[in-house]
Amino acid sequence: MKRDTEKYVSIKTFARLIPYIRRYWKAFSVSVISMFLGSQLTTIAPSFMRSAIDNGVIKGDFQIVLSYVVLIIIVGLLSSVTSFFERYYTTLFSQKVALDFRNDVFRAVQRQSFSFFDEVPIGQLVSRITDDVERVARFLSFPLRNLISTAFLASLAIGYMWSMNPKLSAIVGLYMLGIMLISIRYNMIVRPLNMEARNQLGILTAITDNNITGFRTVKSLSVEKNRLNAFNVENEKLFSLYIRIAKVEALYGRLGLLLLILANITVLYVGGLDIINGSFTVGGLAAFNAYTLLLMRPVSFIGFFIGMFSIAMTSAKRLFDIIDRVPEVYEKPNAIELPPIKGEVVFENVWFGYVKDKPVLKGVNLHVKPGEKVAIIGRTGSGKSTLISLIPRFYDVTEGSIKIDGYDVRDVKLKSLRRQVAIVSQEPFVFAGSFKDNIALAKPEASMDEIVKAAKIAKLHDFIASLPNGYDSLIGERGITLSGGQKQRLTIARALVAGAKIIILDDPTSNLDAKTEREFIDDIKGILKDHTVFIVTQRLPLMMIADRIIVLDDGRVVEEGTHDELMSKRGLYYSIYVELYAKQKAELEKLLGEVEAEVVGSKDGGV
Amino acid sequence: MGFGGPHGMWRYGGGKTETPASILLRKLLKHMFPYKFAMFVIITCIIVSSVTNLFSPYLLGLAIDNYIMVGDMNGLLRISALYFLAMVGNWVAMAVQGYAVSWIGQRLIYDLRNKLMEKIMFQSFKYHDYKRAGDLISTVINDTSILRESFISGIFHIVSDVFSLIGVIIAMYLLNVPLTLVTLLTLPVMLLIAYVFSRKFRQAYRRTREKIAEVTVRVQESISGIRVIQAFGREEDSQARFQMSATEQFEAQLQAGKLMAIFWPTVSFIGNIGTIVVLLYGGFLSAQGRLEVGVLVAFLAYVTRFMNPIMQLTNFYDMLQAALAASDRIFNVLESEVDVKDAPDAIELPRVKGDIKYENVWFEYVKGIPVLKNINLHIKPGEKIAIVGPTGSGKTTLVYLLARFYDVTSGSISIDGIDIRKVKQESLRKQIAFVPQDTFLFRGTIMDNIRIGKPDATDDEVIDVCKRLGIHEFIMRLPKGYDTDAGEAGRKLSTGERQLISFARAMLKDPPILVLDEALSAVDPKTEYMIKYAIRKLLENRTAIIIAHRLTLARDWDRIIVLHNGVIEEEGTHEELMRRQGFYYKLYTTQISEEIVVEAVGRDGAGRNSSS
Repeated sequence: MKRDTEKYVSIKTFARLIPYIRRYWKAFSVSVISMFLGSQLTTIAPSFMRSAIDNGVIKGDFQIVLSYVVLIIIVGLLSSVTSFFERYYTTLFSQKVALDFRNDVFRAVQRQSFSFFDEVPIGQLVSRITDDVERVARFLSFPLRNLISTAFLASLAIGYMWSMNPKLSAIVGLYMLGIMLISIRYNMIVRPLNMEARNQLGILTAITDNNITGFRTVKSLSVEKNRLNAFNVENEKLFSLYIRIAKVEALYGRLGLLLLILANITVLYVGGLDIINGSFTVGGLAAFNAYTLLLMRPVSFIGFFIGMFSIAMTSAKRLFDIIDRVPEVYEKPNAIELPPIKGEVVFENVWFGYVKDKPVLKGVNLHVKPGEKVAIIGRTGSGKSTLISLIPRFYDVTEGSIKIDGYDVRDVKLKSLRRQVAIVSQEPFVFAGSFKDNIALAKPEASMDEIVKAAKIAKLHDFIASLPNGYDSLIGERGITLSGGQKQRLTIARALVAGAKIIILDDPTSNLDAKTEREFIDDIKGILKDHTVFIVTQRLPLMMIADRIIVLDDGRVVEEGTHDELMSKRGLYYSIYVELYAKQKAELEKLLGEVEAEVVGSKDGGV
Repeated sequence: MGFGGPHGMWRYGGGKTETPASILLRKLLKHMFPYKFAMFVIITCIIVSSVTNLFSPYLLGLAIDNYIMVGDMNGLLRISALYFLAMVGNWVAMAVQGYAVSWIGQRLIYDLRNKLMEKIMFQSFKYHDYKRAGDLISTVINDTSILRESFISGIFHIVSDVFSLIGVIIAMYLLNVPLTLVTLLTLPVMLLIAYVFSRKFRQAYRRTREKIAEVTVRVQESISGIRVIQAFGREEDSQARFQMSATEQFEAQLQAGKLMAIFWPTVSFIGNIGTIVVLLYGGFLSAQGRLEVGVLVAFLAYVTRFMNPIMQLTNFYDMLQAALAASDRIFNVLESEVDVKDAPDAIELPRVKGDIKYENVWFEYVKGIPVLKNINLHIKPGEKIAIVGPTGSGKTTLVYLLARFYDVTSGSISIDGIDIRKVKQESLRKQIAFVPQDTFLFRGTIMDNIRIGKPDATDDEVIDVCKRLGIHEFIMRLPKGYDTDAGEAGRKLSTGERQLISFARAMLKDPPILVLDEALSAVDPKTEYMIKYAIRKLLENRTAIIIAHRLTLARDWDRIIVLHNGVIEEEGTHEELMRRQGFYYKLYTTQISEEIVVEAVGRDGAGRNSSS
């Protein structure tokens, strides 16, 4: 029952591959036709050899031998040419499909909304785009083409054999049927075993990783023997799995070969008798043996094909699942361009949850005026980060609405919205590329003046200008490594070039050292004078630049007002402030050891 | 089955080894020595299968010339039966050989992996300081695999190919000398082509590997930056970049495909030429009556058997290189020197009271740069001391030496009066529990992870320990309580919360001596309280060393040791040290004034902002 539905899925998946195949039907046809021709030529060659022996060698007529030799050479040349076309176009076809498939999957991945990336690990996506596509390509290359031409080759060979000796052909046919059945059975047994072995190897790798990365812990607990034992157990399992596979391979994997040999001997004996009776020829016997050998491959191919097919279709299915996935956040067909905004943000009774029935935000109402700076404060899990990720519409609200300058964020084009809302995060992402490209990320057409101006405001210009290649200097793996503070400044410059009016500071200073943090905060107050700013932070100094503080608890706004107002209220804000204060004191103690002298210096400057 | 077979051939990257090939080969053979019986079986099978394999064309020729042409039906039956026996023998030999080769290969990997893991587990800290975990993992998993694929399977294939080749040549030579010489003429051509192409293939396949790696990097980068890409609406640009590397990958594949498409037809055509030359010359000889038909038929069958081993042999060099590089890495690990060893006459350390003495202890990681300088320290049984000091002052090193993770450079450390170098490491470490700052969680459940402190503990023992530490409720709040997957829990828990697992491990181990490296991470007051309570419970009735990062917490312990630049600067209780107004006093007061800085920044920021 289960197998039936599985097969059905495979066939349905294959049907979905057809449009891709059709796009390159020419290359595919060339490869199939070349293979037809090639197999035709391959099957002709033994019959020429037969004629050369029967009509030439045995009769002692060298002239005839010579003419057949010429024919064999011509056939050989032709089959080399067809073989080239066949191989080349097969690769061309399968790799073209793979390329298109890869691009489509990548496009589908990029289209997904944040919830998708929260869920699916990067490694998995990488393996989809590389390994799974490769598996589909491998199937499309030889197996698919072989299936078509195999049927053809087999019928050709059988036809020839039948015309030479029907009785012998029937015998060979029976043997071939046996070989085919064995091949199918072998693949059925060995495939699940191989899968199990791959799994087991994964487990062994995970344990190895565990034992080695956790080495110091193992040593501290003096449980080396215990861990080694855990490894040995899994290693043993893997070993016995491989041995099982080896047994199946030794028996089933070669059984077809034994049948083939039996077929050859039967042909020799029965054919030999026929020759003695005068109803068959020596050359015929030689050719017959050659045909039997020829048939071996297509016949055992069936089992191989079934294995390949189901592996490839499992991969293809995973890829189509990604392609078919409708992103949770998508643009309405009639979405309008969001005009340049002033920066007013209104949350109206906003409800939101990542998982159904588990709301994270419960009826948030908030009105932020253009140019206002608002800090969102709350304990872990209160919904701060969620709240701000709704503004650029990374997720859609479950209920209520978010309006920017009166436009509902769901009614405008995503690009026009996100360009005007910039996020400066704790771990800003810097692309491998130049400073210029990174700053002009949202607006590649930006002029050099715009870029330099933004970098100057973000106080990054002096650093960039000091580099030998200036704005063309590369950042990232092969280029310059930026410090935490520089990355934050880069994202600010990016936001400025994009013309973002709304800036979200998502805990940008928690990875900065105290000194850099001070500088950053001092600068940002000036830079963001005319921007609407949302601040989510654990750091007191940054919190203090806000005009207004919103306190979230369990998805609701519980307090709001200025720092002084809230402190005098002695409510949730007060207790959070006190906790943070105590905590940051402790962090400074740690700092103390590292930069003792410097800290003492900055104390003098600070007070 | 041979479909797509050529793809397998040139994948082995070369890679030079530092150790001479002959030494590596000798070591490899030494490791295979235990399997000499299986090797003997394989070699026997190879000989049987090669010989029987060669028999078949010979018997075929014999059948035609001596029986079929003559019309001897009984003779034909006899020779067919003989043929049958030879072929069954061939089949059995091949099957046994296939199985035995797999067995040796798998057995060797299995043994090597166990040996490697054992070596790695029992290596010292110093070794792991210098080795990257990723490299070691790759040696255990991948290098052993490479060795099996390229060397074990490879070497027997080669042996069998050489046997077949020699056999074919001998058989041909016995049948007809002139025809043999003619056939051998194609050999140099084949070798030349194989040589030229194999180099090109290697390059082409290296390129495809490089290109797919680029695609991987591109995907990784795009997805890790997807939030930024989407936030700035740069999907199209990123798609274009991806398409560019995907297209390059496509082109590399196509290039490799083209080479294959030229190579194989060429080889098969040259193979054909061999057949043609034999047919032509044989036909000529036969026409003159100098050659029998059966011999010619048999000869033609041999010619086809001639090509395959030659193609395989061209692959040999690459395979050998890959195998040598892998075994070099394997032996490097297996033969690595262990610098902390049990003395030959090491004794079992009985359960100690916990009287610890450091006497004139010097220690250096790198020669000439001492990290600890003449440490003298006496900790009485049941005493709890705190070690404080700036980062890099040697706090962690000091406690590492106690468990003999490193050996002192000079001086000595003793527990209950016994020098720790004179006892078995295992018996020493049984007496000490380490609670590191960051807790490493192993695969498995939370229960498994706690139990690791005492592998034979029952579930009840584990739960009991957690209850005593006051963390039972905390664990029960996890999604599946004690059965929560450690990986899942690890992602959810903070460093401080994870350290609770370490506490439970240590408590379960129940040693007389405890070393605790305080976690620094900020936790909410409730967790903070839970941690404090657990520490109190854990330290009861034990000698304890606490590496204290927060000075305000250090004052709770019996004595404070102030470490600075590898020297014990001061020691005493908090009050004593404060009275002295020395280094500790300076650290402590600097920290107090720093609190004022925080206050000032906060106030200052708020003040400036509200005025603007």
